[in-house]
Amino acid sequence: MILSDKILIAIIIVLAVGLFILSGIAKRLPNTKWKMLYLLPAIVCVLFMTIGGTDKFMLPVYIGSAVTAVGFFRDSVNTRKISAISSAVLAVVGCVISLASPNYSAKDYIGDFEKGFASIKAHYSLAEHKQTDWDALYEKYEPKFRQITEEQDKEGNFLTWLGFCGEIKDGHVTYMSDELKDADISILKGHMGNDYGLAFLRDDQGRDVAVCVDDSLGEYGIFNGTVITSWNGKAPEESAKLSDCYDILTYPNKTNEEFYRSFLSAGIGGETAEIGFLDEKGEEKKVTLKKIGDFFDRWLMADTLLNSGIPAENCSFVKISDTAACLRVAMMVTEDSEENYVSPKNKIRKEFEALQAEGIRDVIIDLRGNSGGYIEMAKDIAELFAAEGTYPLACDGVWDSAEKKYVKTSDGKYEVSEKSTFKGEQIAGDGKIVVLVNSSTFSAGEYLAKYLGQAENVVVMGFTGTKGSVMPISLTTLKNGALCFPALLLLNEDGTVFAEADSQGNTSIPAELVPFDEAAVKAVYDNYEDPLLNSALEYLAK
Amino acid sequence: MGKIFNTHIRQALKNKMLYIVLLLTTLFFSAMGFFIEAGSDDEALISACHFIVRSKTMMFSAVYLFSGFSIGAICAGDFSDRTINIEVSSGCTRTEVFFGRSLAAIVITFLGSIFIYAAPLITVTALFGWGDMFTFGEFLPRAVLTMLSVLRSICGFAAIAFFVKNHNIMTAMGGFLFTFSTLGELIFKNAPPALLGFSSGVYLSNYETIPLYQLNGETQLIVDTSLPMENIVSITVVSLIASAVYLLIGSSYFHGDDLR
Repeated sequence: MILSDKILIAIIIVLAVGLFILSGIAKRLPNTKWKMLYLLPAIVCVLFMTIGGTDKFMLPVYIGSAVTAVGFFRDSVNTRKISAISSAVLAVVGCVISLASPNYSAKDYIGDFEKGFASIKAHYSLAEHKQTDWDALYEKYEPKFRQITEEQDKEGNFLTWLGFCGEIKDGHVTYMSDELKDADISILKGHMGNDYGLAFLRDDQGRDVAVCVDDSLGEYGIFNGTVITSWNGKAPEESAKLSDCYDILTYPNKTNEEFYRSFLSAGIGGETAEIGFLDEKGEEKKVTLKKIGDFFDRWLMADTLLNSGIPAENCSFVKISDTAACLRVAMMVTEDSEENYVSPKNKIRKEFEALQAEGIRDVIIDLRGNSGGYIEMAKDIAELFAAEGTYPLACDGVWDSAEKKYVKTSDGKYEVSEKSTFKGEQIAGDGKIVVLVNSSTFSAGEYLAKYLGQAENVVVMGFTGTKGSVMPISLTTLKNGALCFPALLLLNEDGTVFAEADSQGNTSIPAELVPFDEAAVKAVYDNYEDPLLNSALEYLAK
Repeated sequence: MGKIFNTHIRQALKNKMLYIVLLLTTLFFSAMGFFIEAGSDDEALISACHFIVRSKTMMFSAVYLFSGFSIGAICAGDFSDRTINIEVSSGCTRTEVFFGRSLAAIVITFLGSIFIYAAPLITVTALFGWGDMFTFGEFLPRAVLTMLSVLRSICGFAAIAFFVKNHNIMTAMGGFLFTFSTLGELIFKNAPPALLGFSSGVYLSNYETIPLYQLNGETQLIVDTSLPMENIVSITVVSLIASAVYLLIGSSYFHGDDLR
């Protein structure tokens, strides 16, 4: 029981006893001011309701606190005694009901869903671009939230919101929980299934190949790169759909969707899982693997090995070869002590000039795992490295305040507010620029890839493209958390939506896809190398 | 009761201090409205709509300043010099005296409150325009419900005036509630909107907004003016019932009061 409710009940009972005693004395008192004491329980109750909120199961307590007010209006000793006794009895009844009811102090999860859904439906700026089917989402998730409200499942509430957000396929559509201490991706631990000693990813030939394989699977002939043909009798892609996280871990960009679509199936199963694979001779085999842990940990390991990028300080260079240096941009954030954006442009220019003096010509800009930040930083860095020329930046749309929507032109495109550009300085001269991206290159990091990708001296490379979610977020506050989603719309010069992956998973951010072949798998998971970086170096050496 | 009501209305209309307090309060908050908008960082947003969203509880809590003074003057202004005793002993029942005085106080204070509530809005609209974040029609239900919650508070003030019997204490109480309004926003965060007049005011004067921070540095604001029907009904019903209950409490107390 909530502490404030316990205190309220105790106070009401004490006051009722006091007013019962007072009722005998009151008749003899000449001044009428003491009468106001009979209003005291109601005043105390309102005070507690104000600070602590209300609960329908406490209704008898609230009524009980009001009942003594009868003594204020009527002078009869018996009436006052009866009202005091009734107040105490109702307080006890309220206490018992609250303690007995599983729904006492219940959280209104369905109310949060209704509010959040109405807000995102009304204001999500990319609904048309993503062809979001609101009716289907409501039909699917409304019963789930209703059930969660009945069960008062706060973790279920968080996971269901993640599922709802995941289905919109926009990395910026997220839910933040006020109730859970660790309301982040780690909550998926325990929901991704069991670890049977391997994860898998899709290779350049469209096959699901084992990665991050546990040494113990060697006895069955399963190694990094082994082609997986079935999981518990189903194709891995089909099996993945059984995962609790299938709707949560979604990918706006189709290159990522294809790459990761079946990896969740490696967690499906009970104490054992039956796995079909091609042995070294290319013959299909089946083995039963035992559960050895939590799949979340293996997925995290597999993801870290593949996607971490070069370990270096943000916005600093690492010399990779005699002629190439890597500029690590892990996030689009450089701030002063008051958390204001400070452009890293001068720092980068200065460091690069020093490297040029040492013979460095080419630059690899590592945006892998870039979690975003200031959009301005994308422009600042792009200006330094893009070939001389003028390039378009993202533009604002024209917002119609009265209609509460972005204005469209007669050809169905959005109206652009003001076109703006940046100028390339080409500080690397004749040197080439390679930008490395992956599925975790996100938000403002994607602006940099997009801006630089327009220049002829730049190539954007990755096993997959960037995340495909670029619009800045807004926030709707709910009782138990907050729903974040883009309400702002940024456009290309021609009035099309800027860079964001569309309903088909297409994005205008260029990426030259490096084949994720057997050699790449073994390089990452057997030799702990960085094959993407090696591909960039090979390109620069050409 | 009608005579007492008319007498107190006439007396209030001749009360120069009441006019001065009303005008000063109105001028002060109209000036506040002007400075709040004129000093806004987002020039594109400057409008009456923007003022309504930004001023939050200021507009409705301003009426408490006037209410304390006005009700104190009409209901409790003559307790200290005992002139109320003449009214009580002139053949009128206590109930007639109570309702005659309190209804006169409620009418005067409520009209004054509407004036104070509307003045900054009219000033800002005249200077900067209404704006296009929402229409006046969308704002009106909130304004009407706010005035209902103000009516409820005024009735509560009237009852309290007969307990404390002191004009100065009532004025101080109004000033305290106005000063307390910013803190009240935090305290009343969890309270059901209909619980108290103040919680209704806090709820109605806080708008859900979604800012759109554009690349050109300008901000657009999406304002949600909608109100759930359950809150409209509960605030209306509870405000009217509470107003009646406050008056009954005041009347019951005054009925047996020794007027000391």
